[in-house]
Amino acid sequence: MSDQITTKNTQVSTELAKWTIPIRKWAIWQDGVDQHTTPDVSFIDANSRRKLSRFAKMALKVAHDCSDDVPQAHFVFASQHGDIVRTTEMLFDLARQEELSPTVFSMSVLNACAGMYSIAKRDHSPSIAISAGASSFGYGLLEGAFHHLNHPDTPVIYVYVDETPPSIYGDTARMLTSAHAIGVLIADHATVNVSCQMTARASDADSTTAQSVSFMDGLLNHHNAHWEGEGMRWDWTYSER
Amino acid sequence: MEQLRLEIKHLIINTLALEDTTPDDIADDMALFDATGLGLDSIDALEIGVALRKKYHLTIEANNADNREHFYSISNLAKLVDAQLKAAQLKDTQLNNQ
Repeated sequence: MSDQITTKNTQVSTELAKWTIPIRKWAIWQDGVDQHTTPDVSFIDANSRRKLSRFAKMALKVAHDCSDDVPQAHFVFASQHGDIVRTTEMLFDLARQEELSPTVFSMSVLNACAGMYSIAKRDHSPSIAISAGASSFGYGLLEGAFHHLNHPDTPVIYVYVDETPPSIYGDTARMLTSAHAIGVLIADHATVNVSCQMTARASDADSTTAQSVSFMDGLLNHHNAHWEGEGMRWDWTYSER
Repeated sequence: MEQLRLEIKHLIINTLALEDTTPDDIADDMALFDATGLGLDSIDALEIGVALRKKYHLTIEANNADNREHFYSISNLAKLVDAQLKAAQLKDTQLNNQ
């Protein structure tokens, strides 16, 4: 028993990795206080736009806003819950033995937003969609950073979106209190450098906020940010160029 | 038939959330799935199929070669719905007479 307590209180830290991400442009979209709005994505043609959920519109809005009009970009999409509002509605439909909407079904997959962006921009570059639990934001950003490291001439658009899960799921750890989306253009001619460090640690001091929210606060307020959870500490250090 | 065509136009507009489109914008013989017409896609076709099944209890065979023709325009869809509604009515009448 005493051994377990000792192990818990001993903060064993092992630096796993450290890398720097050049950010040329970024965009954030979030719900206002007590305000539930849908972003304007009029840059997408009407026949595609009508199929988009609020979740998808958030994703495409920040992707467009951070893209700096680069003609081609590798697209990385990440989300912890995906389009959980629509998938939950689909589950209710199934429970009522109702036929699913083909449109809603086709747009509920995790890579739907990447696909819609590719169609809207006529950009046939590869894309990837990632979900990795509470650390989804960090691992998505890592994926984007390493793609850029291996292909320095190719810009990477990284988009992260999450919405508050419907109340039927009950309270979950590090509950999101509002919907938000983050878009980051990882490319040369950077305006901000973000240095990221991952440290493995045995600690019970898990962050109470969502990982993406920690990062977003740092970006918005120009201060360093960190997040702890799932046995890992993530540190993001910002430096203007 | 005119009434049925109008009903189907409303059904498509509502089902597919066609912004800024009114029944007047959809001519009876306009190609629904063509960029020169309404410009709908294959997922829209499935969506319309689901809506027609729900509203008119329409039977649409998945691999019927005639589907392309049936789904070409509002007129063709109306003919399909009308034929199936009449067939269903006939069946009911026959059952009642027995």
